[in-house]
Amino acid sequence: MTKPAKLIFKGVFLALIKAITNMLIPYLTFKYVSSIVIMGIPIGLTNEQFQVIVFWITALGLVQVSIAFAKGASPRRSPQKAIWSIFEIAVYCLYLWCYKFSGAASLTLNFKYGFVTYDLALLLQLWLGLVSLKLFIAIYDLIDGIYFYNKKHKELKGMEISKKIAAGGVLNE
Amino acid sequence: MNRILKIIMTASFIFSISVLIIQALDYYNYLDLITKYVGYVTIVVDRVINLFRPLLEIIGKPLSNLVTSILNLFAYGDYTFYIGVSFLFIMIAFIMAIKLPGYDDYSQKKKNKNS
Repeated sequence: MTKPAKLIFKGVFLALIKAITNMLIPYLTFKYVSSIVIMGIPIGLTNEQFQVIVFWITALGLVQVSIAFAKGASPRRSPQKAIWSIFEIAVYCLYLWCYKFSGAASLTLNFKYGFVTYDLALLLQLWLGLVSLKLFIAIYDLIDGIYFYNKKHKELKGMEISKKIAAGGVLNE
Repeated sequence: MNRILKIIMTASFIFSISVLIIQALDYYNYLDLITKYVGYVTIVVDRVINLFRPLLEIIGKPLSNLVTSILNLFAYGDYTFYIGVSFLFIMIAFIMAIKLPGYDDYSQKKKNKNS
């Protein structure tokens, strides 16, 4: 298998994992929450709320899947991989925040006798803080990638010059 | 057999077995088990988060404001924009993978070891 084919295959594999973890599992979980029955009392999300949540999960999930493909299809220790991971963190922040935006962070569960609202906005805020710490790692990866690529580029140039000298190309020129 | 192919075969085998187990069990029962497990894990996560809470809140607050303002730019109810963006990203990644396949440091080290 050639190098680009390997990279693309890796990208597809990572995109599939992302699609399962960030699109399929949240969708099934919200579907489960909307159809939950406790002690014979049906508890569920309102239909409108469920549709809003599903829209944001699908829309931002699609973008996340494409970025996961791009990240997987980039070679290791390359600056482009680090740039894609910065993009990934940014979109992941949006994806997390869409839970609040869509109302999923303040889940309203309807009972027969009333309703209960869970406000998870603070938890999301804390989670965003954790995700943003990953940003520092991505920036470090970017610096490392640029340094590594420059080093490799210089090495290859040196090798080419030494090959030319060995072949007598430089002397003839 | 190629080493990568072996890894892929093993991974797909493990994945298919886990899918079969999930299918064999009742899906809702499986989710109940997960919720119980999450209940135990939450206590540990809560302690860890509380430890870093002051630092995380400082970083998280401005970030949440930024994200809210950015999200206002995104359209609701139309998938065209999102499909377009993801298609663009995939095409860029595809071209970059072909044009810049990188300096495969790992495989070179392996070759040097073998020789």
